[in-house]
Amino acid sequence: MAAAQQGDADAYQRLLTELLPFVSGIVRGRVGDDPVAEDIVQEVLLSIHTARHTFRPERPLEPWVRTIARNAVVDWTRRRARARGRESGVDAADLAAPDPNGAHTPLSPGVERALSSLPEAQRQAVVMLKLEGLTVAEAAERAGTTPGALKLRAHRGYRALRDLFGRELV
Amino acid sequence: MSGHQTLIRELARDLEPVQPIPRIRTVMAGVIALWFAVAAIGLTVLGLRPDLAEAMIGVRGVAAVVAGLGLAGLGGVAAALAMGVPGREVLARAALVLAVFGMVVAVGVGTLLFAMSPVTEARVPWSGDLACLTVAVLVGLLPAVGVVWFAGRALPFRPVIAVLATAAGTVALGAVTAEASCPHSEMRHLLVAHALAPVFGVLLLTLPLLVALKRFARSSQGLDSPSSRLLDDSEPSP
Repeated sequence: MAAAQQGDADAYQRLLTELLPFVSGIVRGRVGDDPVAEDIVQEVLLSIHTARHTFRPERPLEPWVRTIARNAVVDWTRRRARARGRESGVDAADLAAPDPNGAHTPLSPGVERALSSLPEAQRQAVVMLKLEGLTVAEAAERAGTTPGALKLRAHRGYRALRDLFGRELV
Repeated sequence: MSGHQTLIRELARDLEPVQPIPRIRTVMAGVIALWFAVAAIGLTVLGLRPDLAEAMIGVRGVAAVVAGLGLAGLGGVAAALAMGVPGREVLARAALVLAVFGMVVAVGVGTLLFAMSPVTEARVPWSGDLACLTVAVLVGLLPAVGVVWFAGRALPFRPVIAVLATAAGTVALGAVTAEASCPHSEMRHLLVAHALAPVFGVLLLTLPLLVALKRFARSSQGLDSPSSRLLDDSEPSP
């Protein structure tokens, strides 16, 4: 992990690959054979990625990963409970049919320009999640990728947009 | 597993060097140094109470209230810092227990002293209570910002609890300072304006510190910050 913190991509890839069975074990130990276990494992990998600066090289890696995995499971449980609450509070008749063309509210020219400057995969991820209101799972399915990879694309897209708008505002 | 491998490859491609967060003990030392510095300025302006040694030794129990506040302060700060670092839950829990124990001692002994004090004891006006509470909050403010800055850089899984511990802890440290400059020795004042100061600190500071935590999380690392819960935001809002 210390090498990964210094930007060594090969070491990082090896580390994540080696951690995968450990992470899967923790997640399955908590959610059982629920089909979403694989999604949560990907969430954990993403969390490890975004939280890698919180690891101190002199500390053991295992408790650090274990906490991140456990928190990801708790997060997922909360999100699922919230989603169920929302679903139960919505009358099916109130739901408008989604636009088959994926049309959404018109955007300002500046936002359109910023979006079009993103790489296609990132633009598609941002549009599906933020403008079309798809869930991560739905968007991933449409993009033909995994939920984790889709989140990463959206993450890169948000960062690029933020940089872009930040530059324009300065 | 192929989906995982794809993601791992993408994550490796996304990798950028990062600076590990500082050690908890380093930040703790920094926060304590900050407290000492602010307390020194405060005590220079307000002056030490003339009967400090007498109040600590002469009146049985006052030292216990101050020690309880000190424990609550150090425990609260350590807990808030440790909560931001994955894998440090044992430290966070132990520090939280220490903080709660300190508060129980401070408030418990303060209540006992008040209950046992003579009814005829001259009452300190509310303005006197308010002055000591203000000193406690003001002295605790800068260390609180320091703790929240660290938490913003780190990964507080339960930010509200981390902020509560920060507010209570740093104002407890401020209350120790306030006691060193307080001209009053009335027991009701000791309880309300000193032992219970962390409670007022929580009521006053929780919301602003929570806002500051979110701002630090966003500004220090932008959208990369895990504490900004960016990845959760990928889920569309209802």
